[in-house]
Amino acid sequence: MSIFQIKELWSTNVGSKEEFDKNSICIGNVDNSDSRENKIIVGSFEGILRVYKPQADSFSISDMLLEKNMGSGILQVDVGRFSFTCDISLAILHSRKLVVGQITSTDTFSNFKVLYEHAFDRNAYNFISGGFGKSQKQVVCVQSVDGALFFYEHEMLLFQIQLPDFLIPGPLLYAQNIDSLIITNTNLELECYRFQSLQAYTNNNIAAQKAAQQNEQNKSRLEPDWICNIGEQAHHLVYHYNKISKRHDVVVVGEQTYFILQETDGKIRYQRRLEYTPSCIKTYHLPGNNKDIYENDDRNGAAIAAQAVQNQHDSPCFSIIMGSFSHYLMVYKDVQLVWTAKTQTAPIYVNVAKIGNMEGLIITLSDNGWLQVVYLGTDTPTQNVQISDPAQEMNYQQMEYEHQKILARIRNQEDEKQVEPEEKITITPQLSSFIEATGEYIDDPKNQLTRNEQGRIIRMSMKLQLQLPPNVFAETTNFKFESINFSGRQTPPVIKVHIYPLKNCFPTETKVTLTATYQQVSQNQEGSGQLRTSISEIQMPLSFFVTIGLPGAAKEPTDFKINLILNKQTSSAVSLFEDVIESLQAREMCTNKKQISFIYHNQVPVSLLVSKDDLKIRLQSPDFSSLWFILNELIRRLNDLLNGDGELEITFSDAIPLNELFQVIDEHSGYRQEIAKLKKVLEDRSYQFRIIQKRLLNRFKDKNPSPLNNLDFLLNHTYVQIIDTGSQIDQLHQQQKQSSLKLSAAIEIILVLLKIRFKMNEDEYHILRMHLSPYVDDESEQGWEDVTNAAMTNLLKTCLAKGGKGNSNISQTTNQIKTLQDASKLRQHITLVCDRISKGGKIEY
Amino acid sequence: MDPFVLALSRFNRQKFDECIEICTQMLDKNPYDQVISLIFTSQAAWLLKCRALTKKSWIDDLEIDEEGVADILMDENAINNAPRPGTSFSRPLSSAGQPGGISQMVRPMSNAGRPITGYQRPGTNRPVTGSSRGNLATALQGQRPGTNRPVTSGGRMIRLGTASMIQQGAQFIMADKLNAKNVAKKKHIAKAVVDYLIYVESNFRRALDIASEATSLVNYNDWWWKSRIGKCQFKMGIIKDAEKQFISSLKTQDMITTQIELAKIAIKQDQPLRAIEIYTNAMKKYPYETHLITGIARIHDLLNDPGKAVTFYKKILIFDNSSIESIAQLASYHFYTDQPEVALRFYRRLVQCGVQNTELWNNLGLCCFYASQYDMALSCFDRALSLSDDTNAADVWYNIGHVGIGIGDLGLAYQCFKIAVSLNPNHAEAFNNLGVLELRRGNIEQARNNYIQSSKIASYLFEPCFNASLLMLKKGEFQESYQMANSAIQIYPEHADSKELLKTLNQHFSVM
Repeated sequence: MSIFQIKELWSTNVGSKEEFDKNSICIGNVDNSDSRENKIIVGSFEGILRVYKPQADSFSISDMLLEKNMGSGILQVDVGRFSFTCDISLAILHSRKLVVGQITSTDTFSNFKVLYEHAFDRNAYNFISGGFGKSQKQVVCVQSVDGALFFYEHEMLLFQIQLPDFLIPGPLLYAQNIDSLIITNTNLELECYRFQSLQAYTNNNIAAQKAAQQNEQNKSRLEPDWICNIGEQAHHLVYHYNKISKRHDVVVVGEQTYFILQETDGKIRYQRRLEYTPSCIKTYHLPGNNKDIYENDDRNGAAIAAQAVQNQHDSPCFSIIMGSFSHYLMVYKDVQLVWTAKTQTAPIYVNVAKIGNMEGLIITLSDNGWLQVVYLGTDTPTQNVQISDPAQEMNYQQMEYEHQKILARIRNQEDEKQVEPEEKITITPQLSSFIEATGEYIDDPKNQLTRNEQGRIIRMSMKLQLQLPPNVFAETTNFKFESINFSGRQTPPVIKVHIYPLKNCFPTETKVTLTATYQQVSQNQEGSGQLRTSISEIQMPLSFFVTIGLPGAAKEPTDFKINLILNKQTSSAVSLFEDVIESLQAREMCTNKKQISFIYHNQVPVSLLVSKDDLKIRLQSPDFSSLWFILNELIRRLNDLLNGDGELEITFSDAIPLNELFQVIDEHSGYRQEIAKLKKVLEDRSYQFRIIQKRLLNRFKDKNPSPLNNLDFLLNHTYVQIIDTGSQIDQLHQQQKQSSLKLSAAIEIILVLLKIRFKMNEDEYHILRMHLSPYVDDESEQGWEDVTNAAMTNLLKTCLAKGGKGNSNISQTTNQIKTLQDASKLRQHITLVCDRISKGGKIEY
Repeated sequence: MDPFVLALSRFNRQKFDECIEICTQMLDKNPYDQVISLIFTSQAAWLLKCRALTKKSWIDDLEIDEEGVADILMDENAINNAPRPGTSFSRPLSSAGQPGGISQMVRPMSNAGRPITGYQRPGTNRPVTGSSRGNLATALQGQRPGTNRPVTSGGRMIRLGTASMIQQGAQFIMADKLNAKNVAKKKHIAKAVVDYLIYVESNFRRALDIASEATSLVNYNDWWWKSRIGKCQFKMGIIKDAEKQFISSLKTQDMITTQIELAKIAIKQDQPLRAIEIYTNAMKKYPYETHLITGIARIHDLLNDPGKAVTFYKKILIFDNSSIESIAQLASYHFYTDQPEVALRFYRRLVQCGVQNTELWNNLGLCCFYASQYDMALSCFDRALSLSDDTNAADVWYNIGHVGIGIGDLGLAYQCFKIAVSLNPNHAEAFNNLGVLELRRGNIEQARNNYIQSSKIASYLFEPCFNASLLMLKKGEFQESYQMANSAIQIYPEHADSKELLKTLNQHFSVM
């Protein structure tokens, strides 16, 4: 809150919801009382006249002398010597008449009496009064909205005249000294007309004058004495008589600037740009004996500025109070702003007068009728600029305590490790006994959710997802539950899933992964707390993937064979796979203890033979890749059964079956190239298709199209070709997927064989596996062949380099992976790697 | 009551909406140019409505001189491409060298990389350094993500409240259908129409057509038309012609407004010394005119010469003792020249003038703190925070953080900077200080990240560069350290510590 505010002495709200303008108020001893006290006369647009006589420090009802409804809207009130009946009379301007009246008052009662009236036939805007033409009587000049002027000398109309080029009426001023009338026009200029020339020019017929002015040929125009272009709409004109310099000034207030003009020739002799829009102005004198506000002749500007800087400037003789629409009253003393005071409303009228016995009080009126008598000043602030309430003294102890508490909280927050909430979901997968009846679908694991030990009900929202190996199918793999209740001792919810092995594919993997994403649900159904996950895995049993056939069912010379040699005697083949036989109830199939034959669901048999001395095991199958599953299972089981003391050694003495691998690789890369070829075709065809479309479109748009020339046939044909190629690619993708599976199985076999043949340790095996990866990705741009080839080259250049590891030069290896044209290079590289390994190369970095 | 008188009275009392309403009603009854006998009232109502519409969207374009992004990036008005220091806004004086100048060590930079002044107004954010100037990415970047965007050419010329008015206004005068000659002939409405075109429609081309016709009709004797032609040409970017018009206008009638417009042209052409000359010449005639003095002071400020600017700000106060801008500028000058007590007095004056905002209380708090009035400082910050919003709360917290450092409560400081960064993720200074605190705690990696983040956000700060350089030197990353030290020197060529650091590095390199 600013301390520079106006100090209110007396105030009242004139009327309620009435409208006022700057002319609606005047001050004077309107009732000619002997005490010569000033009264404030206010007339509203609603037509109510009020007279106030402020007395005490605040408004009391007796301060209002008169309140009278005049019947029609009051545009302006003024006091002056308008009649000889009394000393000071009151002039009231209505829209169509001017009323001059007298107010008489006794101690208790005031009365308004009409002295005379003038009616006119145009809508009035405002009036001024003065001794026009050196008249002894006070002449009133009324300006109408359309620019006609009526001059009244008391009861008599002197003359009337229409001003030329008139559009919007503005303020009006009578310059006594030069006996001229100054008006504003819409060309942003001020015009000055001599009273005499007005009088001489007129013919007292306004309509005729108007018509004459419309006619532009008329040469005898009324010419102004001078014109001053101020470039702004003038809002206030004040005629100021400077008591000291004995000169008259025309003070003009525009929209942003404040001017002082010379009355004789209309030259701007002072201007000042304002930062605000002025709403009202009052010029006045302070007693003094010095010069005028900035003058060109005897006081130059630099001198004034210098004086002001040294703070000894010798005005004040001419002061201005200016009100702004931003609710300020500004007091200027000469060129200096000396005081700024904030008002509650924007003042539209400001004046300085003696009210009661007090000289120099400021009277302001706002356009909603807030009438104030104020003075300037500052109170010493009642409470020395105090920022906080003294009663509420700061309690440093408490602040410190609070601070520490917050700090502790922050610290805890920062240090805290994330603590898992106590409630969590555990997935317990269970395999139920599989149903054999149809022989087609076999298994269903149950996902059981454990019970919540604490005995209260917890609600969770959960999503469950199954990840299946490629040869297994389930009807749904995604389960979504909005809310599941877990409570006390109840049996936890069970989700049943049926999964089936696919018939067209051989098994590679047995792992099923179950992922649950869950969140605790609060009462209002919205998930709260963090999203958490729980994962569990389950191995599908061998019996899920195979059936057991009669031994010898698959014994053809073309079979692929793998011979493993053990250093320990194994029991019979049957005993190795006891549980499978049990669960498949195929005891009668296994009459020969040394031999067992598995049949995959895609009808590929794999036989397992154990030699007579129980030290050799042979696996054979017509399909090389199919060997992997059983081989893997076999090694696992052998390790479980016989490697109790860690002395089991499985060896493989034959050559690594690289040729078999290469066949698979060739198949896979064949598919790949086929697909690439087809894609190229597809690209060509679709380009062709677009071109044909474009041509056809042109024909359609054309006003005079040329004949189609079988373009429609071509379009159809290309379309069919595109569809064909698309479905071919689709098919190939399916086949490629199969071949990828085969490939990855074949790679696995090779890896395992390499491992046991050359007795690699786990690390070496791991690194090799990284390079010769069984993971075949057909989706990406770079195929398995390219990546593997790069990896092989890398191996050959680094740890399997010719001169051994020492000769390796890592920096020379290029990281770029190129697309292979055919698989022969890859074959060569793989062979080389195997060769180097067999010669004792170690794969380690 | 005559409705027209009511409308006019309301227009005079700045109740433009009500005025427009009445005028619209009157025009609906008697459309302009229909019945010859009614021509007067409807024409007057039309003119009044035109003026009311203009006033409603009027803005003081003398004060607003902000360049849009496009103008800054593609500025071709500058005369010299490689100006000498102190003769161009884009190459201000480096401050340390001159008397009264405030060293870059002491005086912080604003977001645009200008030294912070005590008073923010349109134009103070004009980017200055080579790196931020001419770089589209930084120019287009708002201060805070997602909250503000840079000024475009139309920018502040259109006020929010009047955006809808443009629609209405477009129907009021069909600018394209106006016949320039006919309008210019109608003396009593031509000026209003031109102002309408300039302030409401921003159709400078059309306004220029009419004004050129009108000025030739009056034999080039009306200064107003010439200055309006100049204004239109200035807005359209025809700067040289505009200058001629203003000079010619001044010959016909010397007006303060025209002088200011003329100076604006010099500023636009990046000729600060010429602008000062224009102001000084005008001041010979209007020595008391605060707008002229303010103009000079602002130019000195933009040239990074606060010592000179301050003398002018003081002069303003003689003529206008409640000039908020001058008081604020003086206060900040005294604050940065190590006189917090004096600054405090100026800020107190602002409080007395009724200014109430976050920035003021924040500054009061800082002054109190540096004047060792600790109890007052905290309550000032308290008040600043209670008045603050998203746009400035970060700065208050940053300053509280400084108080925390000052009183040795590093925990408080750390938290304050953290809050500042959370409120404004682009608060480079807070990042830098956080870095220093992290380093004290021994978190070297975090400290380093904070420095780098800080220097990335604000390319005009040398502190994070220097800090990062020092840290990297200690870690033995000489190459990075060297780069950082170099960029610190680029930003602040006189920084002694950076020079020292570079010397050490050079020794290291030569030993290697």
